[in-house]
Amino acid sequence: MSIASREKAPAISRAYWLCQLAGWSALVTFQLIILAVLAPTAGTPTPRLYIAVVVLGASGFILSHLIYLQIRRRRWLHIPLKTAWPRLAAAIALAAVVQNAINLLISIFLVHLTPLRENLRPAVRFISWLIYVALFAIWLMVYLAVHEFRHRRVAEVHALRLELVAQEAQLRGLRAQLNPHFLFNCLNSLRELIVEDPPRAQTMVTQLSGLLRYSLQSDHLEQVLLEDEVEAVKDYLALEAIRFEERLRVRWSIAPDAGQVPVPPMVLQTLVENALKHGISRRPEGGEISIKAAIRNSRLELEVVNSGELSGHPSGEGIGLRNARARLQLLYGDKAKIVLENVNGAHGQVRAAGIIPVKRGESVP
Amino acid sequence: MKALLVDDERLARSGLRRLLNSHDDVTVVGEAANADEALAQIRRLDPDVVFLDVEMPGRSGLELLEDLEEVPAVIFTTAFQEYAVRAFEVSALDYLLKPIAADRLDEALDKARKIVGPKGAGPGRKQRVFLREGERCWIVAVEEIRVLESEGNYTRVYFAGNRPLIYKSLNALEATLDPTTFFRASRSHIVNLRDIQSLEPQAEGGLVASLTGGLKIGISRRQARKLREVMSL
Repeated sequence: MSIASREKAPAISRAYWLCQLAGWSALVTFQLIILAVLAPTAGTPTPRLYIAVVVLGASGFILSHLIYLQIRRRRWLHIPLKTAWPRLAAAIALAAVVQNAINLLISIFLVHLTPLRENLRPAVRFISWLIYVALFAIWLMVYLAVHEFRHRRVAEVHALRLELVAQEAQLRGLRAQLNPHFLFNCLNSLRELIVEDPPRAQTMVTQLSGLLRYSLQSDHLEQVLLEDEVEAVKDYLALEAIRFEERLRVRWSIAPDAGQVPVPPMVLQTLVENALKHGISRRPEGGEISIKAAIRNSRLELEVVNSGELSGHPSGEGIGLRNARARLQLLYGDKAKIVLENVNGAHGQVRAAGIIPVKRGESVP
Repeated sequence: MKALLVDDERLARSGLRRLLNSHDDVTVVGEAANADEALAQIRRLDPDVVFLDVEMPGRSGLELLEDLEEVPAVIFTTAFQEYAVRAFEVSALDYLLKPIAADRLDEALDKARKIVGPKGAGPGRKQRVFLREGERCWIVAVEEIRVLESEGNYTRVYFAGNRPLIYKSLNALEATLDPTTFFRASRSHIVNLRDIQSLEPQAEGGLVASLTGGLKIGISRRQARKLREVMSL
């Protein structure tokens, strides 16, 4: 007993039986119809002919099934093509020999269309054998085609599933979290504020709680409502205001319908954090940050404008913005984007814009 | 000890000042909110110890150190570990995580006292320089430097098994070094005189200096004459 045959092969599929039955009965039916049409004109209306057709169809069915079993047992479709094809050819040739012999027996004992001597002529036998070789070859080709097709479908589904898993992992990696520097700097300021200004320290604890709760809760979500994100950003800015003191001024303009749009969490937060880190904080005199959100042409447009100037080299863009970009690309493809540009005006300004497609009737789960 | 506090957050500075209040031997002589202010304050106030926030907007604390000819004792403060690891590599005195724990501050101050001496600016105080090669940084006592070797606009600095390539010219570095210790051997080399073990005369009138550790540095004829004067050979 070979190792291969001891392995438990998967059950023969129902699709195989259906194809096998349908194929051979179609062939038999076709031959019967031809006979029924032609026999009267040929003047040999013998029911034995019909029986012969059915018997040959049945033997063809059985022989092809034996080839199929060999292919499975010996795993001919899993070995290199170079070694597989001579074996397949031999199997077909052998099956054709057997089918040819059955044909001969039938013509001897069942049907007496032609004299026995004529039937035994090598040329006649050889041509008959060739026809059966062709028949089994066609069967094999159909089998291989169906097998290949199913195999590809399975591989495709598998690849798709893999891609999905990879994408999930990627999203998890790109997930924006609260910057730990910010968090611990906040706690440090808070400790001092407790002594200096207790009521303000209490407010700070509330705001920090709001932001932390949002960060933890939105962590595993793919999307949140923009209005929830806006609340978190307000807490964030209030906390940064303690750091920046009078140097930070904020203007909000969120269109009412924009608040209901689902967005990936922490995208607006990333734009705002970027504006503070690279814009306002580098200016001793501070500056203004303006945050807008509106729906235009079925797209949510987020805009964060701050005083300052782009440093020029794209490497200075920061990992946060790069991650946000990659996240949008994964979730929306080319329909979403983030642009960062200098705005010309009396005072230097930097504009960061995020565009996210809005799907009608979409809601956050 | 004279201490300077460098942090971009006012609350962080006043918090640290409050913690330092309980240490009688520490006087906070100034505060700075960014690297430029800090640079000016260090030059003006000559503090013994600097509490330096690593992550500041604009120029970072490390970039500030690079601009100093002489680096005071530095205690880094940082909100998050990743910078602390780098600070450790620069062989800073110590680093403190914010919010700063009082007992960790005590430890850091103890280390500072050992270096600065009881009255400050004592004999224990050595000239230190900040060296940076890419991501790696060192604070090195100048006397530990053995050879400086010119490589175009860069200089390779040999000290204690390290030989980083610094983005400063040999001439610029020469100006900050004590000429009684560091000798210009040739156009491309400066040698620490205390490291010279032997001198061998060359045919052209030059010398070859053998340093501790097997380094050999050629000394030009003109400089060899000067060296003989300096060492009164």
